[in-house]
Amino acid sequence: MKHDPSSSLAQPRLPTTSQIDLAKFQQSSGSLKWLPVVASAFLRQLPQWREDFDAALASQNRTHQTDLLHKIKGACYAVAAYGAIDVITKAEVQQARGRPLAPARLLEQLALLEADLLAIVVQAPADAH
Amino acid sequence: MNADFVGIGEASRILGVSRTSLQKLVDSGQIPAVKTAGGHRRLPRAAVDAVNQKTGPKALLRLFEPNPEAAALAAPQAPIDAPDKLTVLVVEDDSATSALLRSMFEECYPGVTCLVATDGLDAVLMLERSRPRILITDLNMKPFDGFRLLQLVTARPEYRAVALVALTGMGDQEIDRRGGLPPRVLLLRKPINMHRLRGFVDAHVQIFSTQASA
Repeated sequence: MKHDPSSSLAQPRLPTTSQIDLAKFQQSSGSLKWLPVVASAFLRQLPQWREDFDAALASQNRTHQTDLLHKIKGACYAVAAYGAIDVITKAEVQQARGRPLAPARLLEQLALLEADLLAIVVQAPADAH
Repeated sequence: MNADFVGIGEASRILGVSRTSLQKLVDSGQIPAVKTAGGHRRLPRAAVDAVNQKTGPKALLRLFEPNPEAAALAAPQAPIDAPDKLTVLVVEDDSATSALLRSMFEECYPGVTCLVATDGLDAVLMLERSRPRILITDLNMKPFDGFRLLQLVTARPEYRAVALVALTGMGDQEIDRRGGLPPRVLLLRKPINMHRLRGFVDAHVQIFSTQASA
Protein backbone atom coordinates (compact mmCIF):
# COMPACT_ATOMS: atom_id res chain seq x y z
CA MET A 1 0.00 0.00 0.00
CA LYS A 2 2.95 2.32 0.64
CA HIS A 3 5.04 3.85 -2.11
CA ASP A 4 8.07 6.10 -1.90
CA PRO A 5 7.78 8.82 -4.58
CA SER A 6 11.41 9.86 -4.32
CA SER A 7 12.47 6.38 -5.42
CA SER A 8 10.79 6.39 -8.82
CA LEU A 9 9.58 9.89 -9.72
CA ALA A 10 11.82 12.48 -11.28
CA GLN A 11 11.86 15.84 -9.53
CA PRO A 12 10.47 18.58 -11.81
CA ARG A 13 12.57 21.41 -13.17
CA LEU A 14 11.36 24.54 -11.42
CA PRO A 15 12.08 28.20 -12.22
CA THR A 16 14.44 30.20 -10.05
CA THR A 17 12.61 31.69 -7.10
CA SER A 18 13.64 34.13 -4.42
CA GLN A 19 10.41 33.70 -2.45
CA ILE A 20 10.21 29.96 -2.01
CA ASP A 21 12.77 27.86 -0.24
CA LEU A 22 12.79 24.87 -2.57
CA ALA A 23 15.25 22.95 -0.42
CA LYS A 24 13.03 23.31 2.64
CA PHE A 25 9.94 22.36 0.66
CA GLN A 26 11.63 19.20 -0.55
CA GLN A 27 13.03 18.43 2.88
CA SER A 28 9.73 18.83 4.72
CA SER A 29 7.30 17.46 2.13
CA GLY A 30 9.50 14.84 0.50
CA SER A 31 9.02 15.84 -3.14
CA LEU A 32 9.21 19.00 -5.25
CA LYS A 33 6.77 17.33 -7.61
CA TRP A 34 3.89 18.47 -5.40
CA LEU A 35 4.83 22.16 -5.39
CA PRO A 36 2.87 23.18 -8.54
CA VAL A 37 -0.34 21.67 -7.13
CA VAL A 38 0.16 23.39 -3.78
CA ALA A 39 1.14 26.66 -5.50
CA SER A 40 -1.99 26.52 -7.61
CA ALA A 41 -4.17 26.05 -4.51
CA PHE A 42 -2.40 28.95 -2.80
CA LEU A 43 -2.99 31.25 -5.78
CA ARG A 44 -6.71 30.41 -5.87
CA GLN A 45 -7.07 31.70 -2.30
CA LEU A 46 -5.05 34.89 -2.78
CA PRO A 47 -7.79 37.17 -4.23
CA GLN A 48 -10.12 36.33 -1.34
CA TRP A 49 -7.39 36.98 1.21
CA ARG A 50 -6.73 40.38 -0.34
CA GLU A 51 -10.41 41.25 -0.15
CA ASP A 52 -10.65 40.03 3.44
CA PHE A 53 -7.52 41.95 4.32
CA ASP A 54 -8.91 45.20 2.92
CA ALA A 55 -12.15 44.65 4.84
CA ALA A 56 -10.32 43.83 8.08
CA LEU A 57 -8.17 46.94 7.76
CA ALA A 58 -11.11 49.17 6.87
CA SER A 59 -13.13 47.94 9.85
CA GLN A 60 -10.05 47.89 12.13
CA ASN A 61 -11.21 44.46 13.24
CA ARG A 62 -8.15 43.15 15.10
CA THR A 63 -9.53 39.64 15.59
CA HIS A 64 -10.20 39.33 11.89
CA GLN A 65 -6.73 40.68 11.10
CA THR A 66 -5.10 38.22 13.49
CA ASP A 67 -7.05 35.26 12.07
CA LEU A 68 -6.19 36.27 8.54
CA LEU A 69 -2.48 36.62 9.29
CA HIS A 70 -2.54 33.18 10.91
CA LYS A 71 -4.34 31.66 7.94
CA ILE A 72 -2.01 33.18 5.33
CA LYS A 73 1.01 32.13 7.36
CA GLY A 74 -0.26 28.54 7.43
CA ALA A 75 -0.59 28.55 3.65
CA CYS A 76 2.87 30.12 3.29
CA TYR A 77 4.27 27.16 5.25
CA ALA A 78 2.66 24.82 2.72
CA VAL A 79 4.62 26.47 -0.14
CA ALA A 80 7.75 27.11 1.97
CA ALA A 81 7.49 30.89 1.48
CA TYR A 82 9.78 31.78 4.36
CA GLY A 83 10.23 35.43 3.33
CA ALA A 84 6.49 35.99 3.64
CA ILE A 85 6.37 33.96 6.88
CA ASP A 86 9.03 36.27 8.33
CA VAL A 87 7.04 39.38 7.38
CA ILE A 88 3.82 37.92 8.81
CA THR A 89 5.53 36.89 12.04
CA LYS A 90 6.83 40.43 12.49
CA ALA A 91 3.34 41.82 11.81
CA GLU A 92 1.91 39.43 14.42
CA VAL A 93 4.45 40.64 16.99
CA GLN A 94 3.53 44.27 16.27
CA GLN A 95 -0.13 43.42 16.63
CA ALA A 96 0.46 41.62 19.91
CA ARG A 97 2.11 44.82 21.18
CA GLY A 98 -1.07 46.69 20.35
CA ARG A 99 0.29 48.55 17.33
CA PRO A 100 -1.90 48.99 14.27
CA LEU A 101 -1.23 46.66 11.37
CA ALA A 102 0.89 48.23 8.60
CA PRO A 103 0.01 46.13 5.56
CA ALA A 104 2.28 47.62 2.87
CA ARG A 105 5.23 45.29 3.45
CA LEU A 106 3.03 42.21 3.63
CA LEU A 107 1.10 43.07 0.47
CA GLU A 108 4.37 43.71 -1.36
CA GLN A 109 5.71 40.36 -0.17
CA LEU A 110 2.53 38.58 -1.29
CA ALA A 111 2.82 40.19 -4.73
CA LEU A 112 6.40 38.87 -5.09
CA LEU A 113 5.30 35.46 -3.89
CA GLU A 114 2.37 35.46 -6.31
CA ALA A 115 4.72 36.11 -9.24
CA ASP A 116 7.03 33.26 -8.26
CA LEU A 117 4.17 30.83 -7.68
CA LEU A 118 2.62 31.74 -11.02
CA ALA A 119 5.91 31.00 -12.74
CA ILE A 120 6.04 27.60 -11.04
CA VAL A 121 2.47 26.77 -12.03
CA VAL A 122 2.95 27.94 -15.61
CA GLN A 123 6.13 25.93 -16.12
CA ALA A 124 4.78 22.75 -14.54
CA PRO A 125 3.48 19.96 -16.78
CA ALA A 126 -0.26 20.28 -17.44
CA ASP A 127 -1.15 17.27 -15.29
CA ALA A 128 0.70 18.66 -12.27
CA HIS A 129 -1.95 21.21 -11.24
CA MET B 1 -32.14 43.06 20.51
CA ASN B 2 -34.53 41.18 22.77
CA ALA B 3 -32.49 38.82 25.00
CA ASP B 4 -34.96 36.00 24.32
CA PHE B 5 -34.00 36.03 20.64
CA VAL B 6 -30.72 35.81 18.77
CA GLY B 7 -29.75 36.65 15.20
CA ILE B 8 -28.55 34.15 12.63
CA GLY B 9 -24.93 35.17 13.18
CA GLU B 10 -25.08 34.73 16.96
CA ALA B 11 -26.92 31.41 16.64
CA SER B 12 -24.35 30.22 14.13
CA ARG B 13 -21.57 30.99 16.64
CA ILE B 14 -23.44 29.24 19.48
CA LEU B 15 -24.03 26.08 17.45
CA GLY B 16 -20.71 26.13 15.63
CA VAL B 17 -22.33 25.75 12.22
CA SER B 18 -22.15 28.04 9.22
CA ARG B 19 -24.86 30.60 8.52
CA THR B 20 -25.85 28.62 5.42
CA SER B 21 -26.30 25.41 7.42
CA LEU B 22 -28.28 27.29 10.04
CA GLN B 23 -30.44 28.86 7.36
CA LYS B 24 -31.23 25.34 6.10
CA LEU B 25 -32.29 24.30 9.60
CA VAL B 26 -34.59 27.31 9.83
CA ASP B 27 -35.98 26.84 6.32
CA SER B 28 -36.74 23.17 7.03
CA GLY B 29 -38.50 24.09 10.27
CA GLN B 30 -35.93 22.38 12.52
CA ILE B 31 -35.48 25.65 14.40
CA PRO B 32 -38.31 28.16 14.66
CA ALA B 33 -37.68 31.75 13.63
CA VAL B 34 -39.52 35.02 13.44
CA LYS B 35 -38.99 37.90 11.06
CA THR B 36 -38.45 41.46 12.24
CA ALA B 37 -40.11 44.42 10.54
CA GLY B 38 -36.84 44.92 8.66
CA GLY B 39 -36.96 41.36 7.34
CA HIS B 40 -34.21 39.93 9.59
CA ARG B 41 -34.66 36.52 11.13
CA ARG B 42 -34.56 36.10 14.88
CA LEU B 43 -34.35 32.71 16.57
CA PRO B 44 -35.71 31.99 20.06
CA ARG B 45 -32.67 31.56 22.32
CA ALA B 46 -34.38 28.62 24.07
CA ALA B 47 -34.71 26.78 20.74
CA VAL B 48 -31.06 27.43 19.87
CA ASP B 49 -29.97 26.24 23.33
CA ALA B 50 -32.10 23.10 22.97
CA VAL B 51 -30.41 22.25 19.66
CA ASN B 52 -27.03 23.01 21.18
CA GLN B 53 -27.74 20.62 24.07
CA LYS B 54 -28.29 17.68 21.78
CA THR B 55 -25.73 18.60 19.14
CA GLY B 56 -23.35 15.78 18.42
CA PRO B 57 -22.28 14.10 15.20
CA LYS B 58 -25.40 11.94 14.91
CA ALA B 59 -27.74 14.64 16.15
CA LEU B 60 -26.39 17.03 13.54
CA LEU B 61 -26.80 14.42 10.86
CA ARG B 62 -30.39 13.85 11.86
CA LEU B 63 -31.03 17.58 11.77
CA PHE B 64 -29.56 18.00 8.31
CA GLU B 65 -31.20 14.86 6.92
CA PRO B 66 -34.62 14.67 8.56
CA ASN B 67 -35.96 12.44 5.82
CA PRO B 68 -34.55 8.91 6.32
CA GLU B 69 -35.31 7.89 2.74
CA ALA B 70 -33.44 10.89 1.36
CA ALA B 71 -30.59 10.15 3.73
CA ALA B 72 -30.45 6.55 2.55
CA LEU B 73 -30.35 7.66 -1.07
CA ALA B 74 -27.63 10.20 -0.37
CA ALA B 75 -25.48 7.72 1.54
CA PRO B 76 -22.95 5.58 -0.30
CA GLN B 77 -24.09 2.03 -1.02
CA ALA B 78 -21.25 0.61 1.05
CA PRO B 79 -18.89 2.18 3.56
CA ILE B 80 -15.95 3.81 1.76
CA ASP B 81 -13.62 2.28 4.30
CA ALA B 82 -14.33 -1.25 3.11
CA PRO B 83 -12.11 -3.99 4.57
CA ASP B 84 -9.55 -3.69 1.76
CA LYS B 85 -9.42 0.09 1.76
CA LEU B 86 -8.11 2.45 4.42
CA THR B 87 -9.59 5.95 4.50
CA VAL B 88 -7.89 9.09 5.77
CA LEU B 89 -9.95 12.21 6.44
CA VAL B 90 -8.07 15.51 6.20
CA VAL B 91 -9.85 18.49 7.77
CA GLU B 92 -8.24 21.72 6.63
CA ASP B 93 -9.65 25.08 5.53
CA ASP B 94 -6.45 26.07 3.74
CA SER B 95 -6.51 24.48 0.32
CA ALA B 96 -2.73 24.79 -0.15
CA THR B 97 -2.12 22.58 2.89
CA SER B 98 -4.87 20.12 1.96
CA ALA B 99 -3.47 19.95 -1.60
CA LEU B 100 -0.06 19.05 -0.19
CA LEU B 101 -1.52 16.32 2.00
CA ARG B 102 -3.74 14.96 -0.75
CA SER B 103 -0.78 14.86 -3.17
CA MET B 104 1.29 13.00 -0.62
CA PHE B 105 -1.42 10.41 0.00
CA GLU B 106 -2.17 9.90 -3.70
CA GLU B 107 1.51 9.48 -4.53
CA CYS B 108 2.79 7.53 -1.52
CA TYR B 109 -0.29 5.52 -0.55
CA PRO B 110 -2.17 4.54 -3.72
CA GLY B 111 -4.28 2.05 -1.75
CA VAL B 112 -5.50 4.70 0.68
CA THR B 113 -8.56 6.88 0.08
CA CYS B 114 -7.92 10.49 1.09
CA LEU B 115 -10.98 12.68 1.72
CA VAL B 116 -10.88 16.38 2.50
CA ALA B 117 -13.31 18.35 4.68
CA THR B 118 -13.03 22.11 5.00
CA ASP B 119 -14.23 22.55 8.57
CA GLY B 120 -15.29 20.60 11.62
CA LEU B 121 -18.94 20.32 10.67
CA ASP B 122 -18.12 19.09 7.19
CA ALA B 123 -15.83 16.56 8.90
CA VAL B 124 -18.55 15.35 11.28
CA LEU B 125 -20.80 14.58 8.34
CA MET B 126 -18.00 12.79 6.48
CA LEU B 127 -16.97 10.82 9.58
CA GLU B 128 -20.38 9.24 9.74
CA ARG B 129 -20.31 8.21 6.11
CA SER B 130 -16.70 7.28 5.44
CA ARG B 131 -15.55 5.84 8.78
CA PRO B 132 -11.89 6.83 8.36
CA ARG B 133 -9.08 5.08 10.24
CA ILE B 134 -7.03 8.28 10.43
CA LEU B 135 -8.30 11.82 11.04
CA ILE B 136 -5.86 14.67 10.37
CA THR B 137 -7.25 18.04 11.40
CA ASP B 138 -6.18 21.64 11.44
CA LEU B 139 -7.05 23.35 14.73
CA ASN B 140 -7.85 26.90 13.70
CA MET B 141 -10.96 26.76 11.51
CA LYS B 142 -14.24 28.64 11.50
CA PRO B 143 -16.93 28.29 12.55
CA PHE B 144 -16.38 24.72 13.78
CA ASP B 145 -12.73 24.33 14.80
CA GLY B 146 -10.43 21.35 15.25
CA PHE B 147 -10.56 21.54 19.05
CA ARG B 148 -14.30 20.95 19.03
CA LEU B 149 -14.00 18.24 16.40
CA LEU B 150 -11.38 16.35 18.42
CA GLN B 151 -13.49 16.64 21.57
CA LEU B 152 -16.49 15.21 19.73
CA VAL B 153 -14.51 12.36 18.20
CA THR B 154 -12.74 11.34 21.41
CA ALA B 155 -16.02 11.45 23.34
CA ARG B 156 -17.69 8.93 21.03
CA PRO B 157 -17.00 5.21 21.56
CA GLU B 158 -17.67 4.44 17.88
CA TYR B 159 -14.65 6.57 16.92
CA ARG B 160 -12.27 5.08 19.50
CA ALA B 161 -10.25 3.31 16.82
CA VAL B 162 -9.70 6.45 14.76
CA ALA B 163 -6.08 7.63 14.90
CA LEU B 164 -5.94 11.39 15.47
CA VAL B 165 -3.48 13.99 14.24
CA ALA B 166 -3.70 17.76 14.89
CA LEU B 167 -1.94 20.24 12.59
CA THR B 168 -1.28 23.77 13.76
CA GLY B 169 0.89 26.83 13.65
CA MET B 170 -0.28 27.77 17.17
CA GLY B 171 2.03 27.88 20.16
CA ASP B 172 1.51 25.79 23.29
CA GLN B 173 0.04 28.72 25.24
CA GLU B 174 -2.60 29.38 22.60
CA ILE B 175 -3.49 25.67 22.46
CA ASP B 176 -3.87 25.60 26.24
CA ARG B 177 -5.90 28.82 26.19
CA ARG B 178 -8.32 27.20 23.77
CA GLY B 179 -8.82 24.14 25.93
CA GLY B 180 -5.88 21.90 25.01
CA LEU B 181 -5.93 18.63 23.12
CA PRO B 182 -7.29 15.24 24.15
CA PRO B 183 -4.58 12.80 25.30
CA ARG B 184 -4.26 10.49 22.30
CA VAL B 185 -3.73 13.14 19.62
CA LEU B 186 -0.45 13.43 17.71
CA LEU B 187 0.38 17.14 17.42
CA LEU B 188 2.32 18.24 14.34
CA ARG B 189 3.38 21.86 13.91
CA LYS B 190 3.33 23.68 10.62
CA PRO B 191 5.36 23.42 8.47
CA ILE B 192 4.23 19.82 8.53
CA ASN B 193 7.05 17.37 9.00
CA MET B 194 5.88 14.97 6.32
CA HIS B 195 8.42 12.31 7.32
CA ARG B 196 6.95 12.19 10.81
CA LEU B 197 3.41 12.11 9.44
CA ARG B 198 4.35 9.31 7.06
CA GLY B 199 5.88 7.33 9.91
CA PHE B 200 2.57 7.61 11.76
CA VAL B 201 0.56 6.67 8.66
CA ASP B 202 2.91 3.77 7.86
CA ALA B 203 2.30 2.31 11.30
CA HIS B 204 -1.47 2.52 10.89
CA VAL B 205 -1.37 1.13 7.36
CA GLN B 206 0.62 -1.81 8.76
CA ILE B 207 -1.92 -2.39 11.53
CA PHE B 208 -4.77 -2.11 9.04
CA SER B 209 -3.15 -4.56 6.62
CA THR B 210 -2.56 -7.06 9.41
CA GLN B 211 -6.17 -6.78 10.57
CA ALA B 212 -7.50 -7.06 7.02
CA SER B 213 -5.52 -10.19 6.29
CA ALA B 214 -6.36 -11.86 9.63
